[in-house]
Amino acid sequence: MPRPSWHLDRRTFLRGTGLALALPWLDAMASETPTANAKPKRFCAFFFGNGVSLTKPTDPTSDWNWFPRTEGADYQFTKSLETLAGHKQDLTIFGQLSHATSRQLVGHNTGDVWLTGADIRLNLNNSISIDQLIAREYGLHTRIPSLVMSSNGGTGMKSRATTISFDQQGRAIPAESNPRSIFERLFEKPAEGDREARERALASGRKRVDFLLADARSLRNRLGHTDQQRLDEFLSSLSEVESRLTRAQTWLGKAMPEVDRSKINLEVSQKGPTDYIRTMMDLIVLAFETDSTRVATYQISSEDGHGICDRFPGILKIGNGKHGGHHGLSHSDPHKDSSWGEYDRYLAEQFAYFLSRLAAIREGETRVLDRTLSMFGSGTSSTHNARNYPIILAGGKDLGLRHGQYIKAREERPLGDLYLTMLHRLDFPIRNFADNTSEFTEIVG
Amino acid sequence: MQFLWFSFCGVLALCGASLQVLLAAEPIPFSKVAPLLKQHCGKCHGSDVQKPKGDKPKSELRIDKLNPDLIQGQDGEQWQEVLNRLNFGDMPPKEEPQLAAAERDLITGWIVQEKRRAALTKNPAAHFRRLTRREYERTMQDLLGLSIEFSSRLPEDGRSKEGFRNDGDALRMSPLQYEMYLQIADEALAEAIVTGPEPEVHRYHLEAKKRVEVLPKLDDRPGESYEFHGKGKSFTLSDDCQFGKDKDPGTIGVLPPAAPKPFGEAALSRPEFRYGFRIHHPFRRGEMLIRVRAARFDEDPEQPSSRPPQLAVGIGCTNLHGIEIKSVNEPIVVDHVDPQTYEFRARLENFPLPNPGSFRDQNCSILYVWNAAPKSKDKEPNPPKLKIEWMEFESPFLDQWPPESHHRILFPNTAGLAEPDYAREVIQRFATRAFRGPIEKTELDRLMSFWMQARAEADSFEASIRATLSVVLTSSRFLALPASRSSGGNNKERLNDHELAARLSYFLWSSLPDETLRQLAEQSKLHEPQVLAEQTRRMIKDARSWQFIEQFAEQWLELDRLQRVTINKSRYPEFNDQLSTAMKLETLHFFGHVLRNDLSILNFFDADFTLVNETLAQHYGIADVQGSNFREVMLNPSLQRGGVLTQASVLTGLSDGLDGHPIKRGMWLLKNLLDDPPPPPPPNVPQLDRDTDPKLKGLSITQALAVHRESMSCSGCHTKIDPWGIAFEEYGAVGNWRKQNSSQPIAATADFPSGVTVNGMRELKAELLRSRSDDLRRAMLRKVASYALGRSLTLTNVEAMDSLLQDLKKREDRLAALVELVVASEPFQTK
Repeated sequence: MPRPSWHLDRRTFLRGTGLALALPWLDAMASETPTANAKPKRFCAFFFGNGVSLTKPTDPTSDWNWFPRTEGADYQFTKSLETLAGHKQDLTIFGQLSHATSRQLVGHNTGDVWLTGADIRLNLNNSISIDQLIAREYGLHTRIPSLVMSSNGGTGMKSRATTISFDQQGRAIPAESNPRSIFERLFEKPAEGDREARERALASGRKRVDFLLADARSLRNRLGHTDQQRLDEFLSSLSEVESRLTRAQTWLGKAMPEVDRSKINLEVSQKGPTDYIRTMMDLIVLAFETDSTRVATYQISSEDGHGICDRFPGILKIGNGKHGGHHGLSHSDPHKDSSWGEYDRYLAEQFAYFLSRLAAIREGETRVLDRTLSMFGSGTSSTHNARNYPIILAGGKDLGLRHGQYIKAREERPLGDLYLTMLHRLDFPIRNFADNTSEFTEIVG
Repeated sequence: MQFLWFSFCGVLALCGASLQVLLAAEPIPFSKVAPLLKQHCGKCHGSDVQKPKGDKPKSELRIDKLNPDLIQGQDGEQWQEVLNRLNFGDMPPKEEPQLAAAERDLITGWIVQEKRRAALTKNPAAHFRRLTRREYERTMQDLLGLSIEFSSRLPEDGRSKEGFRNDGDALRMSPLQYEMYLQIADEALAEAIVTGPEPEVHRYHLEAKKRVEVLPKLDDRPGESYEFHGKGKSFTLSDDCQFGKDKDPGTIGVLPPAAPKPFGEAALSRPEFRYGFRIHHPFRRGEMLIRVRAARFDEDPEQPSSRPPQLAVGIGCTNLHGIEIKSVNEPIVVDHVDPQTYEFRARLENFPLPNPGSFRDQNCSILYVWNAAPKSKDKEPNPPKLKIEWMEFESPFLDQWPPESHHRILFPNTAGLAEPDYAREVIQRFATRAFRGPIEKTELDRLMSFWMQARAEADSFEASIRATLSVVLTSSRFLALPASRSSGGNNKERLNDHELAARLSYFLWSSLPDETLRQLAEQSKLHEPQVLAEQTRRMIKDARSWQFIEQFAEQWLELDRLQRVTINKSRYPEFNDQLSTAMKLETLHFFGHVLRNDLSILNFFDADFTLVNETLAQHYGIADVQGSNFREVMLNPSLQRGGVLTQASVLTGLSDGLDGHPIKRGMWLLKNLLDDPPPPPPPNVPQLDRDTDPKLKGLSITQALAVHRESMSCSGCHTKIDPWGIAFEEYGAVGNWRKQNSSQPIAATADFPSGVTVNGMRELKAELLRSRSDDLRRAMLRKVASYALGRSLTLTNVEAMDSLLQDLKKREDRLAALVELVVASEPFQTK
């Protein structure tokens, strides 16, 4: 596709992403696109807000420390993560990681930059999240570039986003929260099943979008500078819609994957958190299994006390509801009260469910789990503290990762180090991402 | 090296002058701050740092080099760090001479003041902004004449710093969202412009315990009735009634009070007692007409129930797990024993729809009627009962074919125009309304060439029009404001009359200008001050101004907090969704009442009236209020209510679910009513916790706050916040007045830094009225202006609003006058 004249926005893009992200990867990737024929590699990330319960060994609640007490391969799971014990050899727990520029911020801000590492100290311009960087390439080979999901849906407000995915301009990507519509987008034939009608529809869709692009460009000339920047969001959105239509046209000839609807429970709502979160995870598994997409993010709960997901602990009767929502729980006292830890355990149990599902699916001889990088964690440790993120990376043995340890990194090591290593495992030949200063070689080999 | 901070004093003294209008208190000049910084910080953070050669400097932060001009300078973050360290209390270090409290306040006060000014200056005065979800929905509804909730699929809009959801800075666009607009436009136009014959219409009649009957087609209605009996009909209907508990099945058709309540894991809800249909082949689109014949029922007419039953209707869906239902109407009080017929209409698109699937499974639509009279807390021997004789529905309900929405766009071609000329006229009329102003010839030509292509490919004329109008409905000129094109980026350029009409109608109605505004704009009269004021008054009186009332009041007063608090049910068993909704509605109706009845904004501080419905009246202990509608009641002083500070919506939202939260409440008051927000806390500040902090154990919240304030790190801000919150202590987590009930007396006495002591809410309100009325006036002028403009105010805008203070006073502080003043102001009328 020819580059539209307004695509000068690389400037904006660069400003938003800060200095760390140089351009080489854009060019590099164009020439070294992963081939469609290779066995797919995949990425997914699960986020929860508000941090985790941290306790002292002398506390009556000492078992409810999220991080293991000892480092290395011989670590013991505490009660908080015990439900993941069955997957010990398929995962690594990380301590001490954080994004350099957000350490000073109130921890609630970190949800927005968890996957981006952007510096939002001066303004809230975010940058592309790692999943979207991956989806830019992997998405060319699947019907849907990526799944962006959250329990709240939408984008929420800046610095308390209800999505963890941000596009290349650092704009929040609205997350989908309705399992039924996600399922329909993934697997349901469009109402006009017949290919010709679809082709006609796509062609006329193209015409319409082309018209709208021309229309918006003519409007652009008459706007002031700041207004132009806002209109540019319309333009780049339309342009993306256009390229999606083009891609959809190429997908037309290929059959939709056959999925047995009875295997997934779509009759769920956020008012029943366990069923809801598991269905969202099932959707990712189904999408991976059918190679409908290779990239997914799911914000299980957002930062701060916002939205329906804040009520999950209350609905689950954790701590008898005396702490209010998830945010309230994060203000409880983990040194005396295990409620917060119990919710950590609950979340870890959901992640364990996801890993079990991935482990059960095979592609030839390989488990899908071994070709998928699955991240799970938060952007705060204890209350409002944007250091020492709880992070687990699971899967990807077949991509050259070595698991089985609790790695307590040197203090305040940038999370970007881990991201860069993950990107390398996924064949992105780039030198920098987010705030990395080095690579995370400890898990490679 | 000379200290840089002195060289900037001159500049800042000048800036100080414009600050007076911005902040209530006297601005702090940098000349007072600089010597303190030098004296207390200079040793380690200044040029006279003693460092032996090769030694590291004591600190990398050189305060002497920080630029005290936070607007032009680049050192805002470092100043923030200085503020954090001072607030946190770890600077100056313990072994160094400490700052006196007043000195610390001076420095922190100055930084806060300058940061705020810098933030205002940096606000971009951009005008192009996407329509909010609400605006998009209202605009589509008005334009097409369809009452569909078009925005339900769109993601939630972001919020500005001030909490407003119509701020262009927070209104983003994404490819996914654009795709949704494209889809919604197609679906909306398919609904508005029809082709083909009249559809089949389903008309059924239900009497409990009898077979569902098909009703014949009426003479004045299009569409043959659809017979569901018989072979080959992929359709079934059944009744779904419950008149009493299983042991006591109740009298047929008689419904005791019930409310939809959750049951089981799926957390979906249904009313326990109900009269209704299950429809095993759901209708998904169009309007449904529902008719219900109902009366009040007393088993023993000699001993009637003390209160009447209430009729509620809901549409929803069910599956194996449960039932999801949404009310069609507010409950209607049924206080007659002779049966009467009630009619309801509902767009099915706005209600929960079941999964598509075989009609043999449990998936189906439901249509329920129930008795929504509030359930009594005590065992009521004689509860109000509702008797249903029958119910009917008709779906889709059509009063004509093609529907009115069709004729509205494809007006009768009485002039006998040739097809292209007719199309041009249709497109021009539609686009002129959609774009909220005249459409240029070149634009129309472009649309026409699009139409001609579409016409060549389309099966029908109607389809080609749909295709073309869908382009109009997804153009950035439609999806964003202002649609009218300006000649350039001149910030002082006046809006033309069409743009003014749009700004006004989106401000007060969240939608398109109506015919009157359009005509006045067409005649270039709207900008005339008298005409504009008159129109503003007309629009406020119009029912559509509820859009402004609802959104402004909710966002200004942060009423959404109410939904985010998880109330402790064992402490407050009376709290439920119905009460929560009533709480919120009180504040909205109260705001609306002040606006529409020309009342003073000082009523927000204190008032002798409020608006309640039955649910809220029970909560407040006000007798003799029945039904779900809100009405004005005068407040007896013993009720301890009056003004928004004592409204349950606010008090509950500012609680932690168990107890009132004085800091949140104080912050809220400062931020929203006085526009005097304290700075955010430094990072890593733990929450005040009486359970875990040994210093606070066993203390009352007021005592704990006092201890908290003694800590230097907190005192700077909290001596300013806490006093405002302490008086609220008379009210519990659900806004319950608890002074007289409590075994321990409530400590609600607060000392203000000014020396004033205030005991309890009544004295707080008096103090607010005495000393802070001007702050409220300024706060409201600024906030209404910010909402009206759809953006954060610039420093110039703030000054323009503050300058209206005397005019507002002259007009007895009336809220409607405040709106008029904002509309007449330069920021509102310029680009």
